[in-house]
Amino acid sequence: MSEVQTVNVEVSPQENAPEKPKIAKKVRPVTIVTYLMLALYLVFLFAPFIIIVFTSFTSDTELTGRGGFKLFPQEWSWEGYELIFQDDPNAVNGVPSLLAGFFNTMWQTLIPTVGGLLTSALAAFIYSKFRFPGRKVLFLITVLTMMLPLGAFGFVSYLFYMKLGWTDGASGVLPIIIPGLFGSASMVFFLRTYFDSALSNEVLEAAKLDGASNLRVFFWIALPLSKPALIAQFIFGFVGGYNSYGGALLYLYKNKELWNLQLALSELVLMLSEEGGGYGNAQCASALMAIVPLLLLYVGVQKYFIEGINIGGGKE
Amino acid sequence: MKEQVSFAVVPAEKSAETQNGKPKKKKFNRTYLFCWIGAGIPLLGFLLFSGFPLVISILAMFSDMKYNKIETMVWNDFAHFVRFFTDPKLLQAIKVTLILACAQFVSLAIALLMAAFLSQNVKGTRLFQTLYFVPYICSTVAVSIMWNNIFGIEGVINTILGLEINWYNNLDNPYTLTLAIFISIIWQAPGYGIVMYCSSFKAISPSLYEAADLDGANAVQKFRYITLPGISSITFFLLLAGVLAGLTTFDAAKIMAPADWDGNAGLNNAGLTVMYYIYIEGMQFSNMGYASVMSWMLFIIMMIPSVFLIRKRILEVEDM
Repeated sequence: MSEVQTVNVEVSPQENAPEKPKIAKKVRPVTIVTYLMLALYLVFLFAPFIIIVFTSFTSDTELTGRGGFKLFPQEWSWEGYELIFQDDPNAVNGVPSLLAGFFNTMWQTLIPTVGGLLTSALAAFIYSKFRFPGRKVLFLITVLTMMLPLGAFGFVSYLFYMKLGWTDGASGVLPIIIPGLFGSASMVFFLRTYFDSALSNEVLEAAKLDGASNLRVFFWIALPLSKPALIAQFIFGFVGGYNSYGGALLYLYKNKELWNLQLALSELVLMLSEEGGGYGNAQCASALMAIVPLLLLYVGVQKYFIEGINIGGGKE
Repeated sequence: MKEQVSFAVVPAEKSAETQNGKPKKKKFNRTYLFCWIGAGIPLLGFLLFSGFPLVISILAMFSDMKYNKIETMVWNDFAHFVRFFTDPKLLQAIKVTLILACAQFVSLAIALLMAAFLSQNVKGTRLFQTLYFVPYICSTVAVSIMWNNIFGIEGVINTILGLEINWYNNLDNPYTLTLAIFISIIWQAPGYGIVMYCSSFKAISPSLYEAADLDGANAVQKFRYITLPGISSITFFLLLAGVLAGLTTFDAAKIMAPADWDGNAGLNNAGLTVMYYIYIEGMQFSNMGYASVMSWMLFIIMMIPSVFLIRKRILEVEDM
C-alpha cells in the first residue's frame, strides 16, 4: 500500500503534463511487479500439482522409457489409477486400501474431533461463565499444561499405551481416539477467550431464569451462539486428523483393516516404489487421491478456513 | 471478568444461600459439581494421557527393556545417557533438524513478502489468498510423495536443470536429500503466515499512512515506523510456532528418506530428524529407553519457544 501511494505522487504530475492520464495510470511499474510476483508464486505452488496430474495419466512404460521429463503424456493412460483401485497390492478384502483408508480416516477423525470439541467447549464455558472454588487454580493448571511441548513425547507414549494393552490388534485405534475425547488445553483456552467476549451474560441469565439446567444452557444457547469459533476449531481439528500420519504409523501399522488414509497412502507408495522402482504414475495418482477429498472440502468451505485463522484458530 | 458477576448462576445461588438453610446447599453443590466435572475433564485427559506417559518415559530413561515392555525394566547404569553424550548420529539428527527448522524462517519471509504484495490494492486478493493456502492443508505425506516424483532422477528438476543427480542418494553430496525436504517444507508452510499477515496489514489503520504522507515520510520510513510495529506481534507468533513445528519435523523426513534396516535415513543420515531418530530407535529397534532420553532433550529445547509463545498468547488475552 505504501509503495503504491509514493508512486502515485510521482506519477500524477506527469499525468497532468501530457494528455494521456489513462495510459500513465495503467503502466504503474509497481503494479506490474506486484501482479508478476503474485502470479509467479502461484506457478511455484501449483506447478507441482499440475506435473503430478499429468504424470499420473502417463503409462509406466512411457515413464520409464522416455529418458527425461516431459509434461504431457504421448498417450493418456488410466494405468496408474487402475493399479491403485483395481489391482491394489494392499487391498483389504477387495476394497482398495486408499478407499478403506479414507473411511477409516473419517471415523477416526470425526469421533475425537467432535468429542474433544464438546468437552473443551464445556470446560471453556464453565471457566468463562461460572465462579466456583478452585476455578483460578484449575485454569492456571490448564494454561500451564498448554505450555508443555508434548509433541516431543508423541512416540514414547507408546510405552504407556502398550502397558494398557491398547496396542494389540484392533485396540490400536484407542490411542488415536480416546485421548482426543478429553479435549485439549489450547482449545479450552481459545474457546474461553471467545466465550468471554462473544457470549453475553444477559442471554444466559434469561435462559437460567426460565429454569434451564446448566447443561441445557450450554447445549442450546452457548454452543449455537459460538458457531464461528466452533466451526474454526472443528475445521482445523478435522484437517489435522485427516492429514495425521505419525499416530497411525505407531498404533495401526499392524492392522491393515484400520489403516487411515495417510498410512495407507505411504504404505502403498512404499510398495509401489519397491517393486522395481517404477509406477511413478500410480504413485502420483495415489498422492492426488489423498489430496483431492480435502481440497473439495476446502473449495466448499474456504471462507471458514480464512475466517478461522483470523479469529485465532488453527494453530496449537 | 467484571461482567461475569452478572451471570445468573452464582449470584442467584448466593442469594439463595443467604435466604434459607437447607435447599441452598444441595443446589450449590450441584452447580459446583457441574463446574468441577466439566472443567476437570481436559485436566483428567492430560493427567491420564500425558502425565502417565511422561512418568513412564522418565523411568525408561534409566532402564533397559525387552520388546518395550515396561514389566521387563531393569536398571542400566545410565547407559542411555552415556550413549546420548557420545552419539554422532544424534548430532547429525540435531544438525538436520536445525537445517529443516530454518525452512520455517524462509517460509515466514515468503509469507511476509507475498502478503505485502497482496495488500497493494490488487484485484482478487481473496482469491490469491485462498489459492496460496491450498498447500498448507495438503497432507505432508502426499506432498512428500509429490516432491519425490519431482526430484526423481528423471523428474522435472533434473530435466530443467540438465542434471542427472540422484537427489535422494547422492554420493557426491548427501545433503541434496536435506535440500529436497527443505524445499518441500518451504512449498507447504507459508500459506498460514500469508493469511495472518494479510489480516494484520489490514488491521493497520490507513489514516496512519495518510498522516505519514502529510508529514512527508518516504516508503522506507512508513514501513519502519508504521508497518513493522503493526506486524511485529504476529511475526513473533508465527516465528515461534514455526520453530516448534520445525523441531518436530517427522512426516516429510519419514516419507522422503525411508530408513533402511540399519536405521539410516538417507546417505550420511541426511534425512534424519530428531523426531525421526526417536521413532527409529523406539519402534524399529524397540529401544524406547534411548528414545525417551532424546524425547526429553527435544522437550527441553522446545520448552523455550513454547513458553514464550503461550505466555504471549496469555498476555494478549490479559484476563486470567
